[in-house]
Amino acid sequence: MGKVLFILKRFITMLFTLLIVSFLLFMVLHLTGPDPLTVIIGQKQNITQEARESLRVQYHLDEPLFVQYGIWFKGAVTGNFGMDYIQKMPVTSLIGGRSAVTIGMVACSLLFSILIAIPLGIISALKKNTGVDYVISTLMLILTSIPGFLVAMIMLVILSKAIPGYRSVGMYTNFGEYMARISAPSLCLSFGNIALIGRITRNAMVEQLNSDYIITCEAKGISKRRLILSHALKNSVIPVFTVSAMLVGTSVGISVLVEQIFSLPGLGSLLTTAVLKDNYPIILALTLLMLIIFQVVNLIADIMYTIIDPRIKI
Amino acid sequence: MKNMHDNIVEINNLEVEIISPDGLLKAVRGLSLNVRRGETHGIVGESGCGKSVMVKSIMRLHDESKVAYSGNIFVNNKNIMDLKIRNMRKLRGKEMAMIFQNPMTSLSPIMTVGEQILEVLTAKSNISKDEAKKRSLEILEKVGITPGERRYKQYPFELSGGLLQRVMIAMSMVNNPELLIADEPTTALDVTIQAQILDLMKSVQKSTGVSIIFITHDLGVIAEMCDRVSIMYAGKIVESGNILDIFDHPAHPYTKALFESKPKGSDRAERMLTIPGAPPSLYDDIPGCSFALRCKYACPKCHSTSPKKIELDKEHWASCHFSREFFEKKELLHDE
Amino acid sequence: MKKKKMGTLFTPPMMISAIILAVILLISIFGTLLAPYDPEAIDLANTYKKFSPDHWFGTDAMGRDMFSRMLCGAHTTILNAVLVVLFADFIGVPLGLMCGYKEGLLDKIVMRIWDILAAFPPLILAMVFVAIFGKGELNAVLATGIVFIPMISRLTRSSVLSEKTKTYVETAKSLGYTERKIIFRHIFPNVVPTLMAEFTLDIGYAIISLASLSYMGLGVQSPKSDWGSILQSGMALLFKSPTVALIPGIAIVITVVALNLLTDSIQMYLDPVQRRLPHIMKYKKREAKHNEKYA
Repeated sequence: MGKVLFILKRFITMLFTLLIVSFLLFMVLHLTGPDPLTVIIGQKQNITQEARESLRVQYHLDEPLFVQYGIWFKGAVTGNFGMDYIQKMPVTSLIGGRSAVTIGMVACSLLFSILIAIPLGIISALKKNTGVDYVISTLMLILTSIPGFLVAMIMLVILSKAIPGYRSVGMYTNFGEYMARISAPSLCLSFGNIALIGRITRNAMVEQLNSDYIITCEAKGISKRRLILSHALKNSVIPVFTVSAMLVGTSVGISVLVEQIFSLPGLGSLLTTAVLKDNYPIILALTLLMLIIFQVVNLIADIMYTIIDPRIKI
Repeated sequence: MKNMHDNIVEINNLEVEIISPDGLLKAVRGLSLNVRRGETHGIVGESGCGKSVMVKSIMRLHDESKVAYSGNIFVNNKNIMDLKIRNMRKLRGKEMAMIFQNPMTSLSPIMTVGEQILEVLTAKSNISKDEAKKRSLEILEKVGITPGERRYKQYPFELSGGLLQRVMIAMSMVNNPELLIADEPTTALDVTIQAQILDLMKSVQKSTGVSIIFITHDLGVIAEMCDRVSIMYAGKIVESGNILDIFDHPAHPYTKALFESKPKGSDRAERMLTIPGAPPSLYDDIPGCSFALRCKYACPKCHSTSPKKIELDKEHWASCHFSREFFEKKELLHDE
Repeated sequence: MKKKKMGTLFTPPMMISAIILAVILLISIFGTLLAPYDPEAIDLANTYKKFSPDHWFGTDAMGRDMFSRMLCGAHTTILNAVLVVLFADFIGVPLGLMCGYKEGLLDKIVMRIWDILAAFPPLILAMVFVAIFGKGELNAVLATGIVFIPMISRLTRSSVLSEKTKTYVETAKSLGYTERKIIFRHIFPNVVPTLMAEFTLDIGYAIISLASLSYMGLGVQSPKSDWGSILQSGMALLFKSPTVALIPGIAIVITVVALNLLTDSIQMYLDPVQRRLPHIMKYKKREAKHNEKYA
């Protein structure tokens, strides 16, 4: 079973990467950043020496750095990423409570972008060199150049002007509210993605439509529809997939900003505040989590390739 | 008197212009050609003389935003230049089919060869999928791809060039078209495989009576395959006739040069065409005879006036001012 | 000869973007001199001013002149973006050249590290580096630069790999030139066009990345400001005076659009498959008209 072996191999590589990254990050953060204890104590710098000591023990800061990493690693393996420095809550539960927003947003935006971008890319490729193509291409070029946070900002202004009761603060309580909250930010995330996926689709389609087998298909006299959908498009899917998988990563990145603007309780705002306030356990756990998401998405994309293209053997 | 129903293809004064990153390419320049029903008609010429552009025009395969046609092409007495592109699609694969130079890239890489044959059947007639699959397997076996059942499920990258060209032949013949265009079908293949493909094409023609337009730059292949041959140079047919007439009485200096340039070696792969000088650029206008610059018999008239078609014999014509003299093997009188 | 190149490099979009970029570059160099007011001068009597001849872009919550702030911000924004790409090129290009030319162990190790870095979402990676270095202008530039290195050295490497197979490299080798000479004198000039196109594109990305970091408060710190931090300061006034946020936003978009347009025109021109050609009927009509005129 080549496939199982391949997945296993990739999985081991991923674990290895995680190990290295977590170790380096842990060390670098603790060695270069401010002392964790100062962060933990925060505003109440005048607490007693005793309380100070007990906090030091509670967070294992009395141990040598390597031992600290060992303790963190032992916990991490069982899904326990320790307590955070500021809210003094388990990191796992902090992340768990907020991941739904980010994951939902990224997934929605990707789905949305693919649904819009691929047809646009196809039309643009088929109408290559015509006005339609110019309009679509220019539009996409402009969309790639607008930073995600700017889109979010403008959308927030428009939404609040258009819908007087537009709620943009606070938690959601049910699925309907959840969707209502994440739909606009997802849309913002989509703009850049639509442009990139659309451009890749167009260029891949133009290239495929120029290839020999398409002339054969024309000579065979099959319908234009079939020619486009089951030949040219099917052969263009791989670059489109690669880019889409990559975009999961960038979307996670941009979601950081978009969440902040829409004041959504997601991972992005958690990370930003953690970076600003040197909240190491959260930085560490979130970095690794995003790494995992990115790698898993890429693995899925790789497996999809082998299903689409029989030439790719794993 | 032949009536025109005998011609499966009749091209009158065809001009094809293509826009490309390097400029406007006038690939076909006032070309006329008749292909009779049931014959194998060879087209010979150096690479870049517009052979492929011309035959692709017969099926209107060019991207029509980049190509301008003028003149007429009759296939089965229908002027295909008047057809809408969607009606053209209906003819392709059913009345006419085409195979290409490089079978390795001419099939979709991500679809099994069987499915690609099946697709032509289901697109052209209302048959059930099972029936279509049965017919696809039959034709695979017929072109010598065995075991059909196993090959049907293979992808192009799993087959050799020779087998893929057989698949191409199967695919083009599956709906029994009346015209098959073969654009250098053996050029990309090994010498031993070439012979097998030629044999297959011959036997296919024998059993179906399909008319074949066969493009090549290999005179040996022409001698083996064709009933009639047309010599193409710089976007025009310069001489056309029965194969024996042309081989015995070449009436155009270009044809003569082709025969003379043929190396005496026995290996067919080595018989490449080499004539001193290069063919004219098809981006330029060419005053006079297009071959004049490379022609050892050229006189001032050749550089200024383009020659007319001269009928030499039944079905044998050439366009050179001195065709008659060449045909009758007379010495040329003017100064060389 | 009638043969002529179809589709010129100097298309209208290309020319427009080149002019816009030239203007922006001039502003970014001389912006501090052109500013009519001190960009940080607080004038509480003149807050939230609308556009006027005195204050072309109005004033912000503290009465600072937006036009002056934008001009000085341009200096920081563009300079930092160029710094990011120069820094990344300075490390990435030689590394890519070496890795591509020698392959072997060095190549394996470096590419492995890049694989790990590339596994991070770019913005997150930049944030992680800022977390390590600490927030601030120079650190943000450094962090973004590091994020760009893998991208640039991979591109260089793959171009070198394809150049390496060409005959001129074989010739140079057979003449017994030193490796350094072959790499830098022979291969490098041939990968420059690819890198140049990438350079303009990357500056666009760098502007967006830096603005994102500034927007999160991780980049340029007050009193200095770039377009990203002006945008952030405008965010709080989004409903009261949206222009404060919109002006830097629009400036960023215009700059990046122009950079992308320029890169796009160059790349389209270099690739014959993607190059835009006129429709043949339009072309012939135009030619006919042209011929009529000069007949």
